[in-house]
Amino acid sequence: MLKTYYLPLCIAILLLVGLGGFLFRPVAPSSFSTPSLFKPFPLPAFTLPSLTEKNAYVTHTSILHPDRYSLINIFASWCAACRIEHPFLMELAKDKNIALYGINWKDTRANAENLLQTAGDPYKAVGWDYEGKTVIDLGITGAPETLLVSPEGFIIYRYPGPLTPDVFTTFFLPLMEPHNE
Amino acid sequence: MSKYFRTLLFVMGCLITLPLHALTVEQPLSQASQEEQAQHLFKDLRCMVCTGESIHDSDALLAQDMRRKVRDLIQEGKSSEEIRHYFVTRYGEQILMGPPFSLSTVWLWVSPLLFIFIGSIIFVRSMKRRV
Repeated sequence: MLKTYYLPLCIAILLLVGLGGFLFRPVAPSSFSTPSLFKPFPLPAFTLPSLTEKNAYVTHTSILHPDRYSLINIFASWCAACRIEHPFLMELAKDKNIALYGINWKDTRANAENLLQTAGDPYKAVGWDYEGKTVIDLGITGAPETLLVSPEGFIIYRYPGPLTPDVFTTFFLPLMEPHNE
Repeated sequence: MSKYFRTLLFVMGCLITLPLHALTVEQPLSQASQEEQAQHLFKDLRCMVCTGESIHDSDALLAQDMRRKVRDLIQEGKSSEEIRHYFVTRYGEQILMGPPFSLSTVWLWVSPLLFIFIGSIIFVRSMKRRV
């Protein structure tokens, strides 16, 4: 009786094994974050009200600098994972070779200012994007997220998730090397 | 159901609507043809923080912002092609829901059909045995 099932059964098993092997094939842990898959594009022009200074604005020109790389960090007071990266951002702020800017996304001014006052403000400047129009222009998918802007004025990398020392060393530093020579 | 219980259920039912205030009320475009264009584009664009949903259906913050951006771009006079290109520049090809049938996804489509085919052969054969 088993004989009639034999061939289709074998084929089915082979296909299942093949499919399984393909689905569970080894993949790089966060291939979504792989820098080589990211297509750089010029930093779009934008103007945001400053979160911290009255009547001041944070624009693309504030961020662009021909001599150094800039980081744009998207954060919000309602974003729990942002708290995880905050201590490291405070550390990064001390590095003179890196300019760290913040964009506060979909937050009330009060909540955002409160956060920076209690946890500390690591940013050179913070833009307030309540409506989320600018972050879409920058290709952001959520918070926390960090963009790397080259001295040439291109967004060359985007990391979705909390910026940890590990992430910074693995993904950001190698991209900043060409300029440090 | 006791009267007390029914009242409790009613109150809970009312309270459950409280989180709805978090949903921003979206303004459709005033020109019907523009809004129609917007709705079409919503179905073309992927919600990057949802599983397999387009921004047409999703309530995620990102989807809301993307929908607003699509409407803004339409009002600026951008064509659907230009709008798609705008998102692809910023998010990569993956932002498009796109044609689901391509060289890389052909097995995704074919394998279930193959299994059904094989399964039905086995089934028919076993039925024949029983006769």
